[in-house]
Amino acid sequence: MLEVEDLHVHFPTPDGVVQAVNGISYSLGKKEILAIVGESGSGKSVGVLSLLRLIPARDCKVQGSVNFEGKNLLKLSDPEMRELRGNRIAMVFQDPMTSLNPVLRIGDQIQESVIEHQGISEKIAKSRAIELLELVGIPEAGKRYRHYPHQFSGGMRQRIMIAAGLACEPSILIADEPTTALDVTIQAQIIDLVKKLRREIGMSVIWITHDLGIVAGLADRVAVMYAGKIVEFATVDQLFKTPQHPYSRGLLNSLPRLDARSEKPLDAIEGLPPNLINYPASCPFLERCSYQTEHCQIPPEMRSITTTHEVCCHHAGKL
Amino acid sequence: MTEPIVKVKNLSMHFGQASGFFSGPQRLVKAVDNVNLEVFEGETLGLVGESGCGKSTLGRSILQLYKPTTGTVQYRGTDLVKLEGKALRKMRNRFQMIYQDPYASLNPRMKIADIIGEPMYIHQLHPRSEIRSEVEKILEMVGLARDFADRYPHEFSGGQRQRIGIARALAAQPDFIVADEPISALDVSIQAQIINLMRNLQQQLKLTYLFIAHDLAVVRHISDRMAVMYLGKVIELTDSNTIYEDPLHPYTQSLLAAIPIPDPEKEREREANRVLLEGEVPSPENPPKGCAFCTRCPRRNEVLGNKKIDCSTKAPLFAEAKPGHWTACHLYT
Amino acid sequence: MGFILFLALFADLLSPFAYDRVYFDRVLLMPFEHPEHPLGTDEVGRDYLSRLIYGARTSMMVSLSVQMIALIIGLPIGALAGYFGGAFDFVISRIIDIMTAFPALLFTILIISVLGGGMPTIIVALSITSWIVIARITRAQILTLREQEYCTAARGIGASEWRILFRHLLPNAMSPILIAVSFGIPTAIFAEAGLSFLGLGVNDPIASWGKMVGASNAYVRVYWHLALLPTLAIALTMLGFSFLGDGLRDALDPKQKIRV
Repeated sequence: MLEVEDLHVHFPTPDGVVQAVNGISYSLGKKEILAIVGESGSGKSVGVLSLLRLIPARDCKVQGSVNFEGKNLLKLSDPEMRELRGNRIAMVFQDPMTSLNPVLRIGDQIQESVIEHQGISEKIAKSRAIELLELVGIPEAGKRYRHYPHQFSGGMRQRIMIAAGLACEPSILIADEPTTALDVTIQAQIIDLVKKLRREIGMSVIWITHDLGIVAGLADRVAVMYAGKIVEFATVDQLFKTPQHPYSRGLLNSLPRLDARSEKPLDAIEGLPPNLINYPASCPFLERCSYQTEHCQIPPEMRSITTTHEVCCHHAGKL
Repeated sequence: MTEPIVKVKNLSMHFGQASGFFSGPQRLVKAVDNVNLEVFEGETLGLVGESGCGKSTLGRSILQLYKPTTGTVQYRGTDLVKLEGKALRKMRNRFQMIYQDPYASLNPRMKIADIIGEPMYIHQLHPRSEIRSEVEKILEMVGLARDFADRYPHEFSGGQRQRIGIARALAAQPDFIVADEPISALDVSIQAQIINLMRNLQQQLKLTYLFIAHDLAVVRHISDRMAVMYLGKVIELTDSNTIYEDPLHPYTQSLLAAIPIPDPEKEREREANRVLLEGEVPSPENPPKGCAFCTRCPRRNEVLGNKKIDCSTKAPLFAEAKPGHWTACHLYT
Repeated sequence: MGFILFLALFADLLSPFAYDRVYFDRVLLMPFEHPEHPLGTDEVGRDYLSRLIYGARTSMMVSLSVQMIALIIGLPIGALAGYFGGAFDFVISRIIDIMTAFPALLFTILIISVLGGGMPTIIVALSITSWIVIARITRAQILTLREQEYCTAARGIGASEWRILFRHLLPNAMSPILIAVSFGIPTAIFAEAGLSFLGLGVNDPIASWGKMVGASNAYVRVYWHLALLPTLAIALTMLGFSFLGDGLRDALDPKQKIRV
């Protein structure tokens, strides 16, 4: 459905070029939930923002191709891109407090994209908006669609964002850390909602997060990002049972588990992520890797271990 | 039975005015409502809850960073609430706080040496000439290089700044530390480093921690006992293993059910049985009468039926339901 | 501005003539008419170039003194009002509000007419209106900064309120304050020029650009240099200090890193 090939995103700055994304490739199937996991600086947010060309062209340089419905999104003109955004591909952002316009009623904000893209009448748009609000679980939707964002809590606002995203029945929903700012009990409700939507509408989802717990419960496939590269790409079972990349392993081992208390110290990954301006010429994880050999001075390529499991490491499959 | 190093009794922290000069009807926020808590020497007491439950406020009220509205906080027998001004300041080095935001809690215009040296200077813990070498010792203890002392906060990453914050707290030579969400602002791979550091320091320096966080997995890992808060009240308190294995309060049960576990198989199992908590946390300005949790409690009708108690009008007492296991729920009275 | 400051400081040495040296026989010469007076002379025969140079000194003396006094008075008052609040803050804020509502120029004219003219009076009068600005900015900065977590942390380690104010808050508050001071300098220069233009400023025979423009009133139709040259001097100096303020503001701004 969506195919990203060798995407690079670089930001020229007075201090040097920030190499935020360095050659990532992945594909998204129909009705599939793909999770992109990474920490801050891994390039996960920049990666998807550039899919929809949401970063101003004067700030960054983008290379590669993003193929969707037969077209390369990176080569489309601005009007063509606007056609797509909100319509065929929708996005939900992290902070529900600021992503809704505080001076517009929420009903209007949901209707906005539908009217814009499908040119239907206001009356029909209104009933569609109410329908959507009910779908995402806003109580008393018929009354509340006239309310303003500040009259809703964070969890509700995020649901409204999702409703707005769904208005035009997109094929793909991209969610950038949508539950990070929410409480755990509300987060569970939102995740449940997304799963329900996938079942009922058949939407594909790209979900970005740093929380491996969410990934375990939600995703079909996972891409682990580090320093602007995808270091491991696998099904969710493969990643958690047999992680191949030292970073994935390190991450999984360092997590304190709710279901098991251990007296031993956590298996922390020592060190810090590399500087994206002076990008290392070796494998980016080299400094922190406990499996390093001399071979690792050369940046590794993505290798397939099975048809569904790829790793970017010289020791792929041998650990 | 060890004596508690800190004893909190009937602590309440109210914000806003009941009816002031310019304000209208009651706009009182009971951020912390009548909390009773004891922290024993050498232990780590975890304090968990979602946003708005009052855990941060409780931590700050205990340290007198907010002056509690009512109640007492006994530190080794001295009631801190009664202390003011110089008397309070003199004692401050014995209890310290580690802050959540590593970017805001360090003065951007001070060198690291001065930031860490300040508590030593204020409390005259070392002769002036030795402060610099003591600062360097502490830097090493928290895993930073000695020459970092001459740099400024903006030169460091979040994780490093948090270490500096820890160093500053240690410089005061406290025996009780309140950690207010010390790792929430950090990346996952750095969180583990800081947790390990805190544990090591606790053993080395015989510290007592009150560890406040919203991530139950982390709190469970580091704490001996855990307290769960909801809307300003402590609703469950017991040791860490028991909280997970035998949660009594319906809120604790829902909270545990909602937390994702990094294991796909387990998640699939849980999904089949999971009962999701409905609704939202009520506003702290307008808490429900009776039990704070009654608006969302899945077992409310059970209590009504079996015990003929209406949770929405009668507030449950915080009592010992099983040995060493305290909770505030009508199901267990 | 360096040039102007330089002129002001070394006016005595640079100036070909004393500013009050009068040559009655060389009255009202145009620039370049007389070999000794490259910029001409004024209506009583004083060399214009020298007057301009001394004028620089006047402008600098007045503006710098005014800003220094404003800083010395305004900073502590604003800081104390912002930090401790309460009744003191209430009173100070009302004073600031009232003074801000007052048209500043009229107020200074009022004071001068009460106290008489002359350099000291101008400085006093201008300072009274200037300290308000500094106090207001300081107070606003302190109010914002005192909620910062590093202040709470300082309290947590047992720092006294005074220590927090001086060691933590003020150093962080300085940049907008310094910028205000540096923008206050052209304001003061212009105010002094305006007052002198109206005849309320420095006394004769002290040279002041504003006065020179004012005095040229009667002759300007023919002897345009009498008005044009001091005006240019005022404009260039103000521009220079404004650029200084701009540059200072940019340099002191916390480094903005691109966050993605």
